[in-house]
Amino acid sequence: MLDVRNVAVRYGQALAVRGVSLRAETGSWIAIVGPNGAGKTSLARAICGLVPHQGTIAIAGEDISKLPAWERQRRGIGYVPEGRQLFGAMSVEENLRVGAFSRAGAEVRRGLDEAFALFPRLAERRMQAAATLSGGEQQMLALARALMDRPNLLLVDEISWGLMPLLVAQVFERLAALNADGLTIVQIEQNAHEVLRRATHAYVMAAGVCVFDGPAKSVARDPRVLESYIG
Amino acid sequence: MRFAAITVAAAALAAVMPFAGVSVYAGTLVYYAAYYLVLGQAWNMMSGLTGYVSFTHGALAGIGAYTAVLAINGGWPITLALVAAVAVTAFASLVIGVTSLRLRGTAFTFATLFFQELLLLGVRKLPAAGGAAGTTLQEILPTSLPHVLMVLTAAGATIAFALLRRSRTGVRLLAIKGDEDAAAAVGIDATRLKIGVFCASAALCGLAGGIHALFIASLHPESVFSVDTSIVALAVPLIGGVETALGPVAGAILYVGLREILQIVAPSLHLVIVGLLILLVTLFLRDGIIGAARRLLQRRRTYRAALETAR
Repeated sequence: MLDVRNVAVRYGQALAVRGVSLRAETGSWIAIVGPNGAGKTSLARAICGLVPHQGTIAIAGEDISKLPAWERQRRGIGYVPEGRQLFGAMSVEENLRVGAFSRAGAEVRRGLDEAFALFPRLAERRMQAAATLSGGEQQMLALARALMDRPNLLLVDEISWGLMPLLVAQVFERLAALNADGLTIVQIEQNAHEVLRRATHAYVMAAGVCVFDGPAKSVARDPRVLESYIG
Repeated sequence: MRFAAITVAAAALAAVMPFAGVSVYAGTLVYYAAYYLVLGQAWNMMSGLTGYVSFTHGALAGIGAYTAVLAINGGWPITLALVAAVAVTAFASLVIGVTSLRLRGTAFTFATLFFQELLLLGVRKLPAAGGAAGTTLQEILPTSLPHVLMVLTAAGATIAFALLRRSRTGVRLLAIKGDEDAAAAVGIDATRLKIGVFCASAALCGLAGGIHALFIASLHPESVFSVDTSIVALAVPLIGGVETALGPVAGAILYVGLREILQIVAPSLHLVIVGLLILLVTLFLRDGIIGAARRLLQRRRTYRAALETAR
């Protein structure tokens, strides 16, 4: 599904990602964990085409490295960015509609119904401006917006950041349900314990490189990894 | 639908003014309000919806004005001359758009200001356009023709803006204004969309400029490509309220009225006072007069509803 090879991201003189490779098979749930400043978000933004990068990125066998962000999205990448990046002045419903703007009317309505079924709180806040939602609701909206265009691959960046533990559990439940339905998930998380419990495979990043990868369960149990990179 | 009907009715009333014995002075005020309304709606389409502030809308109208005059003087019929004005301005905006719309935020604004000045310099050096001395329309036309055309264009621009604002494209443009990265991440091709709306907005300016050339008949580079017109194009929606179709209507009427009063009271200060007005509106009424009025109405409605419930 996703094949990332030797990707590097540079901001001026600083190398944020120094040649990372990773794979995500269809239907898998990949965790990318590591401390702050490890380059996880830069890697996610490179996969989405939001920052210039070196190396190749392929989705379903097609090289998308040279495509702009909007074309990559149309190849089936749904992105839930860190910090949510909602359209604050727009209502909840408008945010969702933007997520599916290339779809026909009936599909948009079905998408809205599904989003509101998945996140009933959003239905209650339907006409409210996105900027006025609580942190948890904003996170749900960012996730629902990314799902509106029916992606094949969901790239989720720090979704549990700033959320109450109860909400974190709810969000993970939703992700698990989506994964069970066949959606491939690549999830960047500082909350490593929860994501490693759920994911199939994990990559540990530090200082811009991938320092360890393996089945998520074994990463979760490896004392060296836990001690050095996750804590 | 009701909005379109009211707009058409208002435009019809304004359009018949020259034939209904209304004074030339009042007719001229209405004409200028319509002209600034077209420029304001064009600016609102581009800058109001995408957040990319343009300082070149006055110069775009200038391109339209010059094209129309040169075409009519070259023997073209008025209709074709206006079509040419639209086409040449749209093409010029494509050049400006392709080169500057990859820039973000204030970089784009400065690029547009640069084009504004570049156009003035270019036209001053162009012998075909009369150089620094300018050029004059050879044909003598009644001012009622540009009056009617401008009022109709203003109504059309207002309805077109209202339709655009409600359309999917309008929502996509607002998404670019909200967060361009997030917009790209949901599959919006921001660059193409920005260039497209800039061209449409420029075409409108070109038409307004072409019609305005019929009204003023004599073009001087300094006044046609003066940055003042670009400031008015921006002031009208900012004062009235960006992102709304009604905002520029309120802004244009207020601006023309204010300018008239100031020309009597303080002739040289009108742009200073308009600048102050923009400052005050952006500081205290961030969504302009129309936005403030809507909020006031909403508050009254809520208050009344609360009173009803209390009873």
